[in-house]
Amino acid sequence: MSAFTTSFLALVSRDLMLALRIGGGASFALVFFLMIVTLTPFAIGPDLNLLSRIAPAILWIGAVLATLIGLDRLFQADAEDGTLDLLASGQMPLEIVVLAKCLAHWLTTGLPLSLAAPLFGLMLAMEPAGMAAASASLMVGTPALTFIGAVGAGLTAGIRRGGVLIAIMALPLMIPVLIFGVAACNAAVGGTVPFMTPFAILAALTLTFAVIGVIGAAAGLRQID
Amino acid sequence: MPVFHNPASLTALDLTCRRNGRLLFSKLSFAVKAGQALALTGPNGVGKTSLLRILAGLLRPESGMVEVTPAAPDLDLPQRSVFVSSRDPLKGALTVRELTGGWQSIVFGGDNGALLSAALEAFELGPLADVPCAYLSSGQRRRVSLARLALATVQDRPVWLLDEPTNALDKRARDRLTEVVAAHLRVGGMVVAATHDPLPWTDLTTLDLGEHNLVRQSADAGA
Repeated sequence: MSAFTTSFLALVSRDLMLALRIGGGASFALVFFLMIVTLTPFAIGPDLNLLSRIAPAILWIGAVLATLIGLDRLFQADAEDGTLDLLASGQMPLEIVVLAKCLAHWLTTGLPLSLAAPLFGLMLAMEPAGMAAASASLMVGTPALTFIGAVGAGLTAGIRRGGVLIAIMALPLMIPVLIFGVAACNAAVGGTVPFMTPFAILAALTLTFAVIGVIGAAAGLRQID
Repeated sequence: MPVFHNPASLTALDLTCRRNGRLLFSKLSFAVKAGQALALTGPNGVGKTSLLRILAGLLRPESGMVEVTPAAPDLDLPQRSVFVSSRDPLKGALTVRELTGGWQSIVFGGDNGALLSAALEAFELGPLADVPCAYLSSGQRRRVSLARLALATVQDRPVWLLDEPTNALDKRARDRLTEVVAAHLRVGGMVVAATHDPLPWTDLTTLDLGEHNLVRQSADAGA
């Protein structure tokens, strides 16, 4: 294994360790996701047909908001304590540093959300096919949310209370992901388009934003001084 | 550790730095040769930290250039120095060994356990190795920050850039720092330190940025 790969994996595992230990907040996103999903049936009332029809939308809105929650700390903590300077003088290019941090962020937010989606789908009276589609679409789509948010996080890493700014910058770009994510869920339980059509577009969005997000966030981080 | 075959040097040429529209210093040139240390002094806000960040390749000067020789073709300026800023990049949830081991593998490359232990020992951090950083005092935090100096090789990163290195350090830790710096200079390394304290280091020259600015001002006024 090259020194480069070792560095990359070491950074991912360091970020995972920080997120999983006390005060890291790896569970925040999941708890927030759960709150949104639990509140909705209470607000809508016992109309199971309506609930199961809007369930994909609720899961996806929950995922978008839950992803946004921890994003402001993605680079800010490292910028504040000087770790970012250290990373910038390391052997990895800043783009790869961003990729590693995004991967760790997704592993502690997007992945748990995707895995928990079928369980939460039960509360929203989803059909089994819909649950599987929700889980798959979140698994493929949530990385895009992380990468989009990373650009905002990179640009606002130097300012306190950047969270709202990130939301304003990132949410418009997250809309296409939301549309095709929900479309994939709906396609799985009926409708006129096959499941793979919106799903493939969702995958394409993730790949596109992986490139744009990594380069954009690194460019944003270079502006801090 | 082998001494350099070709003598190393750090050269700053005509550096001009402007932050938020304010001119900090202009046309600043100096050279540090292998085995030499340079102390940057001057009043608060004169640009000592900015100069260190420029030397570290983290801040782009308005004009001028910084060069570290012997040149390494695959390494950029930020990879030629170890920059210990005045902020301690510690993570409260990680133990001292996890944190410094992370620096070693993420930043400097390699996972040489003996080198890591030696780096911790250099600042007498052995007994603290398994303590989470959240529980350290400010002097101990500073020592952990400084420990990364010993994680890099003098060939890759011959330049050490230290911002207020003695802050919060007790007498004993200052002596350790003096020893570590002396060892680095002996093998052909270079050190630039911004400081307000007198440093008891060998081969130390002083660059007073405040004085430099006065000279520049009178030179510009005369021209």
